[in-house]
Amino acid sequence: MRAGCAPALLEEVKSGVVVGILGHEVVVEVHCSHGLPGMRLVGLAGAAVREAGERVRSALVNSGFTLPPRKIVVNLAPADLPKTAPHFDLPIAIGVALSLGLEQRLDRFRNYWMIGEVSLTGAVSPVCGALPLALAAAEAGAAGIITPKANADEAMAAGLPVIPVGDINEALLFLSGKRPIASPLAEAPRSSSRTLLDFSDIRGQAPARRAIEVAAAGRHNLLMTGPPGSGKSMMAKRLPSILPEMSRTEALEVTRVHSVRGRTRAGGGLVTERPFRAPHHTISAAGLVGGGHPLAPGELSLGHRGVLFLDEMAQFGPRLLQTLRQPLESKEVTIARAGLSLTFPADFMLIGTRNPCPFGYHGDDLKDCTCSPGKLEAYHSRLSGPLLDRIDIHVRVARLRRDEMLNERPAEPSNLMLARVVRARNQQFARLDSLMRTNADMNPTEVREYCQLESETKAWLGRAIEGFSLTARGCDRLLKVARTVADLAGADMVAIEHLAEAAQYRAVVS
Amino acid sequence: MLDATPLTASRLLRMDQKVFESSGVALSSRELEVQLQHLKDTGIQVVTRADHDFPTTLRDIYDPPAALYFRGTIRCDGPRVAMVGSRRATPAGRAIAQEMAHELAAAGITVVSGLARGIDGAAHEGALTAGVTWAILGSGLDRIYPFEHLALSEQVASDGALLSEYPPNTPPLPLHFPARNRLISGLSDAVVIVEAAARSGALITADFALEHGRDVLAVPGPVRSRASVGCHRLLQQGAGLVTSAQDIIAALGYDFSEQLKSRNTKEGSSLEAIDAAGRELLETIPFEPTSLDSIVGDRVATSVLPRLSELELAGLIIRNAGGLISRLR
Repeated sequence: MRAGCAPALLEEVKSGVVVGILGHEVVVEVHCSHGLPGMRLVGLAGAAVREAGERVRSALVNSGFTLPPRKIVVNLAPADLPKTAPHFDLPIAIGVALSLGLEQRLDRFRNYWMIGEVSLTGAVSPVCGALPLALAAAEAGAAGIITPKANADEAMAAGLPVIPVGDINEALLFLSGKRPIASPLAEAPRSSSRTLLDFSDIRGQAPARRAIEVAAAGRHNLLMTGPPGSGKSMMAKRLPSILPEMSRTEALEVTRVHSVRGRTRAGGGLVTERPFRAPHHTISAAGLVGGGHPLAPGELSLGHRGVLFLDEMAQFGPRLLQTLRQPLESKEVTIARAGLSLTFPADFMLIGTRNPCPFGYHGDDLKDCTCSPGKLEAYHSRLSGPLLDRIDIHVRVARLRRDEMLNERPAEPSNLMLARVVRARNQQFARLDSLMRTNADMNPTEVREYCQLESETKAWLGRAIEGFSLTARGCDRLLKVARTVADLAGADMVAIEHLAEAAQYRAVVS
Repeated sequence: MLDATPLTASRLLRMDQKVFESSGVALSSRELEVQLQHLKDTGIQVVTRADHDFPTTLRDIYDPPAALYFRGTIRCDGPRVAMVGSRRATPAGRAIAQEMAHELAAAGITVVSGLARGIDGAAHEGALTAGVTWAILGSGLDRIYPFEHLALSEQVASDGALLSEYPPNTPPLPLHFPARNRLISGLSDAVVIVEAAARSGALITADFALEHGRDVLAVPGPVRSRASVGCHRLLQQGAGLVTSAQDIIAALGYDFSEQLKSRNTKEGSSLEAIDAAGRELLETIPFEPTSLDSIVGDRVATSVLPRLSELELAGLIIRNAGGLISRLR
């Protein structure tokens, strides 16, 4: 048993709370005084935080301290910010230990933030939201942040000293200067082992492959229509293999969102793989858009900078699909609840599949479709016009032909496709003067500026507008896709052949 | 304000009193008042068998209606041709119906059809671009069915006529449609079936046409096409085979060669715009709806896709909502 030092009645420890995906500073004040022994937590603490009292007491005892009988009051300030996460365990435990005079903190460590959940043994376990909290600490001018060991890599990305600790004693020994812990020097090397599904598994399907390549190159939203078993989902799942790696900025944005949802809790540092989210069609609106209590990002935001894959898109309820419209336009979701309105990023590439009819085989040569015209109509109208308007590329996927099934020749692997995509992307980045914007993001002004046509091409477009009865929006879409086709071909100007190929990707409504 | 004697009622409806009594319509004065006001509001007119405006061809069928409700003009001296077919038409079938109806209308023939989805709608659309068309409904004229043809029905009413034997506010019940088909046949001099599956309402119209002594004409489709099985059966049974509007006109025994002289130049001009590779590609595309994938085959997708757009713009191929492609010419 360790004896207590001179009692310091009031102590302050800094920590933070995540609201949405942004961290905010929280000061944990601990005061102990003579009175009825016990611990009282104030400052809008949620259930998980209120339980901290019991955990902290046992954790301190099991770490080898004798707790003198004192009345302890813990205040989490500011008091109007709801605090629900269990990462206040560590700051509370440290605050109590300091306040009871069990250990003394050096002045130079006053400005360290700390986060971590403690177990009854005194060990510190990992938490959600390490990156947003570390970023907030850096912004608030903290000298460093004490985190659970598993969260250290992730917190490093914020660019301030990170002190990884395994239990309460380590943290206290560090703060008292008795045992220094060096901040890890650099970020752990980014894992480059990409074990993604490869396009070489896909035989035949030349038009669909090409459509996916164009979609990937310009980051256009894509809808594949085809009978069951034609390989729509198989191709969609291989899309990540032809998307360029994320830049550091992108990785930071993505990790921020995923960190809140606990994906990085087990360690591994920044998320470096582009997200690929494939929610099932029974997902709730809150699960898709974000919501819950506390407000957390949904699938749309988890797909930020990555892919949102909606398999059997027509099966998603009409209300769910309607919620996609605004994020597809503004690239973010704003969720307003009583007293709180949060904005999450949601800049994803949408890829959807659907069957040609409720029966599944309309237009297939093997099976006869028995759907009535009314039923077909109803099925097609599930994807509303405004939603289809935001999908640039539409492609019909056919069932494999016999000669394709028997074909032994290996199909083109993903890395060749990726090389072309990267080249096309670089052209777009140079043109749009941004490392994140692509042809699909062009606004009408940019479309006019970057898709200038020679007079002959213009005449062809005129014929196409009439012949394909294109709306103004449809024409813009055609030009954007044509721009990507031209980028893939390495062409400076959009030519007739590029427009003509792009026209094959338009939506046809009967 | 109205007493409900059959005489007054029949006068107000401009009906022969005997016909009115035999029509089994029994209305209270209040009901009558409401109905007449509704007719006035909706612009629906009534013509009875006693009126000389009543279409003459309809008089000599077995069970003509006592009265016809209509919007538009039903005065018409020229010949009328019914064009009907599958509601689940192929894009190629729709294109053929549209084109033939256009040429018939241009030649001064009234195209009669049923405003249904598929071939019927295409026939009305095609005829509206050049002349007059009549649509016969299986519901009251104020209850357009299918609803998506509401705009089309307005055009038909302004350029031709919407007709029905059912009073306003009658719902489109299934049993009304075979009876409606009897009117389509009865109002026409010949009946053309563009696409009909093995069991299709269009075949009912063909049966009525035989009963009414009208010419039955059928457009053949691809040999294996399920959408044309009914047409092929009719042809086996002796229906006239038509592949163009001229064939229909010839079957009617009229001479419209003057009006048709300017036609049939379309095919030549649209093919001329296509380069050799495009024509070669066209030859590999079947008339049945085919997936893009089998058209591309082993070729490089980027070489085929732009050419398909050219062929589409030239009206040589067509793509349906599901993305399947079929050849038109």
